[in-house]
Parts: sequence; structure tokens; C-alpha cells
Amino acid sequence: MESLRMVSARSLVCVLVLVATGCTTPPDPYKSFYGGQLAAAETILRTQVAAADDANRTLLRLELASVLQARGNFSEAAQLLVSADNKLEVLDYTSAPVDDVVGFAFAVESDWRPSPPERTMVNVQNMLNFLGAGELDSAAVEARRLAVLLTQPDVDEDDIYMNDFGWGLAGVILAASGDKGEAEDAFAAAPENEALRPGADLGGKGTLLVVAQLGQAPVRRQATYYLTGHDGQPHPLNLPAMQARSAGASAATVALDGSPMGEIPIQLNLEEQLMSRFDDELALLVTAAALQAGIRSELIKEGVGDHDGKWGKASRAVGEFFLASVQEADERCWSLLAGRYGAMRLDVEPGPHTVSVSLAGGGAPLEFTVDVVAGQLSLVNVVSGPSDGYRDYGELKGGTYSGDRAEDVLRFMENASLVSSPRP
Amino acid sequence: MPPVVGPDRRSTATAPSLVWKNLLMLRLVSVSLALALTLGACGPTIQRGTDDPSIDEAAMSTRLDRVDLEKALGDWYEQFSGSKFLAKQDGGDQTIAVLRIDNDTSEHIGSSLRNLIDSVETRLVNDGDFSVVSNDSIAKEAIAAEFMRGDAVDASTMAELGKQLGVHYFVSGRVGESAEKTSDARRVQYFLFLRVVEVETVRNVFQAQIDITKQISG
Repeated sequence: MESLRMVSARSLVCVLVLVATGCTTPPDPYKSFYGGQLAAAETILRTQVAAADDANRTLLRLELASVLQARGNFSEAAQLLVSADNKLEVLDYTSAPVDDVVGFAFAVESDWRPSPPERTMVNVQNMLNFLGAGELDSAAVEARRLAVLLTQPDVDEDDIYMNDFGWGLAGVILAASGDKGEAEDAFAAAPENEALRPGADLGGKGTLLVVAQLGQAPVRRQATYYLTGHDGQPHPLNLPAMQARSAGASAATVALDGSPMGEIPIQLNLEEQLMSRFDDELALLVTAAALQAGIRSELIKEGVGDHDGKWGKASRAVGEFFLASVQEADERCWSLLAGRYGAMRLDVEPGPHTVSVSLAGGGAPLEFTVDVVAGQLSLVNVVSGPSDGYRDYGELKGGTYSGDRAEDVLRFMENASLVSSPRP
Repeated sequence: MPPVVGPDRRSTATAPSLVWKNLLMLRLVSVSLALALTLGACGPTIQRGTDDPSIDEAAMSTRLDRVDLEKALGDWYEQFSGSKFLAKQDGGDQTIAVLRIDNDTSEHIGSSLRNLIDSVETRLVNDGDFSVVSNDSIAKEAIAAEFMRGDAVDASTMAELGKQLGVHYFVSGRVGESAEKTSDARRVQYFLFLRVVEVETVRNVFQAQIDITKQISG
């Protein structure tokens, strides 16, 4: 038994080392990205991806892909997202009891799992990447992957975050690749995208698809929520809440060869979806956070009860270490996503065309010259983020949480003798 | 040094706390052991298929691997070699071009399909029943470009192309799917169609269907 204890103690030291050198994402690439320094953001993220552990590599690849897309390096961005998608798919079906238990009890970072709205954006973003890279067949593959994701039969409607922008994009891509039936299905799934549907006869024209990605999606930040239970006292609990960021440009208007074509309609408000998702999962987060706290609290008590033994010292040290970070919220999320998405379809005569996109509230119009080919689809992709400007996050205020779930959680915390001081 | 006689801390513990402590310790030791095993598994293992043939057998994803492609090629060849179309060939005087297989699935299997079409071409070359147009042939590119127009393919243009370029048949294909995802699994049922088209008439003179199913589940 003593040898087992030693193994245990050594392993726990390993855990300590892992956590101490852990992987919180430094803010630098985000400052660079939103400050318009895309090359710097790319360099930092490449370094981070190379150094990342398994738990965080996928997320960093998504972030790097966002930077590469904004820089026009669509091919590499596409390959990164294919790779990330493969990893996430395996993760979707991976049950890892050891990882879960270790992660749960010791706060070792487990593999990052995206929220459903973020998961959907992997395929949406990769449709844009493959389209930008001129690989229509691969864009069509991504369109079908999105369709499979959004039509899962065993998921409640509330848990499927409809992506009208994605459906519209899928319809345009599938129609261009000759898959008329699938394109119809995609357009039918989001009737608001009627304007993206190709005409009956393009008459030798080519298509310009002007996409606007506006503002910044909200990010996960730690916030203190106060649970009010039967004792009437507010008990603090830190959770990864959603924090809104710069709305950025409120709209994008398009001019084609100097003629105004109007405002790009917004088909997806990702900001709203992510906020709504947080509301849906708040109860689960509260329970999970309390459970973690309870387990660690027990660890400390056990260590105190056996304070002279090696086991007691180890468990007490570990318990105290983890209790210090007991409520450290998992803030990982795909931070470089835009908040709102829209697309405009322009069927034009073949040849060179100038597309001018003006962002409401932002500088000079962005000019693109595109050589349109008859029967082919060309992408003009506008990401407002780099011109939005970086703003430091302020302190995120949580809120109060009450009701039956709060009662249950507080009862559990009390039973576990969890340190839970009332609001000062 | 004489032994120290004194109360044994463990012997004074009450039975319930001993049980609780042992249970807790067991849990933690189990977790730690599992963690130690996880941490101890360092460095990748590199294997050669000729040393361990079983590494070719495992399915790694829902995409198409060598086992799937060998099955597809085997099924196609069985159907093709027993077909009336092939029986009518006198041997070697007809020219055939092998084009491409379109990917209409939700999987990035383009490179696998290129391997499959190359394997089909290899069989046709080695069997000697046809004269096979080489990969870099202008004839092949011209026919492929016309055929890529899908519904807009003009039969008379194809016939003219075939006559000018001396190509009698071409092989092309398409792979479709029925893909479904649930919370704990994703299943992809592939339907691979390989056809031989007579250039002059744009008629299918032979078609084979091969079904392959892959699944990833928790």
C-alpha cells in the first residue's frame, strides 16, 4: 500500500506540474488581430499551435484558421479546419472516463469541446475557405457536412442552432457544383435566403458572392454568480459566462462597378446564439462547478485527518492547491469568430468587376477586383474584425441564480462543508 | 534505538472513517494510476505494414481507406469481367479513357477516389482488352471537359470528339452517400457507381454499383 501511495503522490506531482504550466491562451494574438496586425497574430498563433498540448491544439487551429482566412490564405485555413473537424468528430463520440474523472477532480484541462453554435461554424467557415481557395468540390463536401450536422434526428430542436447563413452558403455552393437537389434542400431549410438562390438561367453569367463577417462574437469569461438558497444568503460561485464584445461595423453596403447594390442582409446572429446557449447551460454549469468544489473540499479534509502521513501531506497539498483554483472557470472558446454574418449574391457578366464594400462606422470602402468567369462562383470575403479595434475586456459581472437547482446545489455544498462565504 | 511504544493513530480511528478513508484513497489511487499510465505512454509507435499486416485492417475514420478501395476495386472488377460489354470486345482494338470519380459525399475523399480510378486504369492496362489513353493525353482532357458539363453535354459534340481523338469509351464514376449523425454515432453509407460510356452515343454500356458502409461511434 505504501508503494501505491508513492505512485499516487508522484502522479499527483505530475498533475501539479501540468497544471502549473497549463494552457491559458495569452491575449496577444487577439490584440494583434483586432488591432489590424494580422501578420503578428499569425506568427503568435503558429507558435502557440506548435507548442500546444492535445487539449488545446484544436482550438488554436481554429483561431489560426480565422487569421489565415482574414489574410486571404484560404487553402491553409481550409486544411486546418478539416484537421480540427476530424479531431472534434472523434471527440464527439469519445467517452474517456479517466480523462473525465481526472479533469473533474483535479481541474486538469480536458480536451476543448465547442458549444453547438461554435461546432456548426467549423463547417460554415470551411465552406468559405474552400470557396476562397477555388475548390468548389471540397466546399460542397463542407456544405454536406453542415447539412448532416444540422439535421441530427436525435437532438432536440432547442439544441440545434440553426444557421441560416450556413444553409444559404451551402445552397449557393451545391447549386454551383451541380447538385441541384441538395441545393434546393439547403435553400428550403432557410427560406430567408431566397435572394441567394440562383436564377433559372444565368445566361452565361458568373456569380459574385459577397460575404460580410461583422463584429466580434462574445467570449467566455469568468464571472461570479451568487446562488441564493433557503438560507437567504448569496453564495458565490465562479462560472464561464459569456461576455459581449465590440459590435464592430453594424452593416456592410456593396457597390458593384460604382453602382450601389444595397446592404448585405444579416442571416446569422451568432452573438445571440452564443448568449442564448449560455442561458441554456447555466444550470448545468452551476451543478458541475459545485460538484468539483465539493470533491476538492473532501480531499482537503482527508488530508487534515491524516496530517502526519505521507498520504495526508500529499492529499492536503494537492487539495489546497486545487481549491485555490477550484472555481477557475474554463474560458476557452473560438474567440476570433465574428458576431454577425451575411451574404449577397450578384450574377454578373464575365470579366473584371470592382466590388466596393463599405462598413458602417468604419473608414474607407474596401475595394476588390474580381475576374468573373462564366458559370463560376467567386468569393469576396469581408471580415470586419481587424478594423474593429481591440478593446480590453472589463470585469464581467455575473448575476444571481435561485430556484430549485440553486437550492440543491447549495445543499450539496453545505454537506461537503464547502467554503462558501456570503456576499460581502 | 528502542521501539517507541505509543498509540497507533490508525488503530484509534473509528470504523466508518476508516472505510471512508480507504474508499477515498482507493478512488484517488485508481485515478492517479490511470493518470500515471496515461502520462507514462510517451512517444509514438511507428510500424510497417509488412511486419504487422493487421495495421491495414483497422478502420480509423469514416473516410475510405485501402481496405475499402480494395473492396471497391474487387467488386468492380468482378462485375466488369463478367459483363456482356466486355464479352463483346474482340481484344485490344478499342480505345478507352479513364476520367474521374465525382465526390458527392460529406467526406473529403478526393485523394482516395483518385487512387481508385488509377487502380481501375491499372487493371484495364494490364488486362489488354482495351488500348488505354494515357493520363496526359489531350483526348482525355477534351472528353473530360465536355463530360464535366453534366446536363449540358451535347451528344453530337461528344461523338465528334470521339471520332477526332480516336476514343471509343470512357470510364467515369460518382460516389454518393446516405450520411446520418446522432449524438453517439455517425454512419456513412457510400454508393459508388462506376460506368463505361460509349463516346459516340454518350450511352452507358456498363455500370457497376459498389456499396460501402463506415461508422464512427462512441
